Amino acid sequence: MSDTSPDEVERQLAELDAIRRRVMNVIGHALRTPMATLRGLVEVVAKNPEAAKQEELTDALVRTTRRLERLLDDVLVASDVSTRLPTASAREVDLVQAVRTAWIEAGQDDEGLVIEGSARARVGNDALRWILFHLVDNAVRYGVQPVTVALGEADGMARIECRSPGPELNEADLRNAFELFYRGEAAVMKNTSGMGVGLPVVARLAEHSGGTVAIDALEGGGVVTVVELPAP
Amino acid sequence: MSDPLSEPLRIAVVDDDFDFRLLLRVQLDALPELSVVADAGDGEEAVDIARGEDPPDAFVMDLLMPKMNGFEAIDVIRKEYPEIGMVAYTAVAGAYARDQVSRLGAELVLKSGDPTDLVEALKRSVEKARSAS
Repeated sequence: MSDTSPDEVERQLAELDAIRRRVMNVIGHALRTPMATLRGLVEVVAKNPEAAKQEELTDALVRTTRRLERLLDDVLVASDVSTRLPTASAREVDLVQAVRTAWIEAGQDDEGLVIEGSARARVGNDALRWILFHLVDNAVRYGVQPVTVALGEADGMARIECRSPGPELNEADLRNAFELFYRGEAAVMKNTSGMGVGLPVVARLAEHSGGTVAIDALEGGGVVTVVELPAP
Repeated sequence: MSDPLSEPLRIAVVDDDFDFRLLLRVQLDALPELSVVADAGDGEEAVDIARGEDPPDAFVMDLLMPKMNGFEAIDVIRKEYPEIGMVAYTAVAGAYARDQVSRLGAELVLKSGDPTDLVEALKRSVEKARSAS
């Protein structure tokens, strides 16, 4: 028999309820815009089938659908649902090229990114792409450019150090950065969108690939995110 | 500036979501009473549009955006150009957002609603802004 007091049970239930509300609030926020976009685009095409011939509209439909899929995958992976973990075999990858590609795929200009050094990793292509997507997304969403990515290899590990200048992080932000659906003070105060799953996803994928991730405050404001993955 | 009763309202749409911005452009441009003349991806760009040579009659403004969010942009533009109508167009709005938007003198419409709600809010906001300025 548990000797938990009724007051303690009540406190724990209230805490669980607060977590449930926070999670549903964050997910609701994150899904609403892509859902509204998808519905709107489908309605436009349904009312005017000729619109389906406009490439920019069909491209937007494909992008929005993929984005919803990625949001769902992020939640599943960050929640440790192993069935959604990437399955591609590890292979040797040039990290300079991979980082540059992730930056361009995020729609960013070349001058916003500085790559220092070089490194090769032995990792599944889809896991690496997913990790880099979130590193770039966090840097673009919360920081200022240029973002510096320092690459190197040591002790059998390839190191990706992403230095993103931005608002100063407080202790709670650093402590809770890997907590699922946690959003930092700067993100909340600036009213930026986001779900608070990026770093938990990076952590889960890095671990799945035999690596690690850590963050620290950047001197002068901002964040340093360090991902280590097996070197070839 | 156009007369809201006789000419299409000239609208600027501001949203950090590229695809949602594209959708808004297509939806609003299809309406005879509106014409989308500019778009922007954050509040700073919105302020630049308002300060430009040919400012719009009204803004459709997302609230959650990088660099400068919608609350800040509405505040800056309303103070400098009170004759420009302002509609906050947001995915989710709690009590805080509703209070803030109301305090800033803007209309608020949810993205999940019918686009005609947005059109009506744009017309109301322009008429209100012009009569107050």
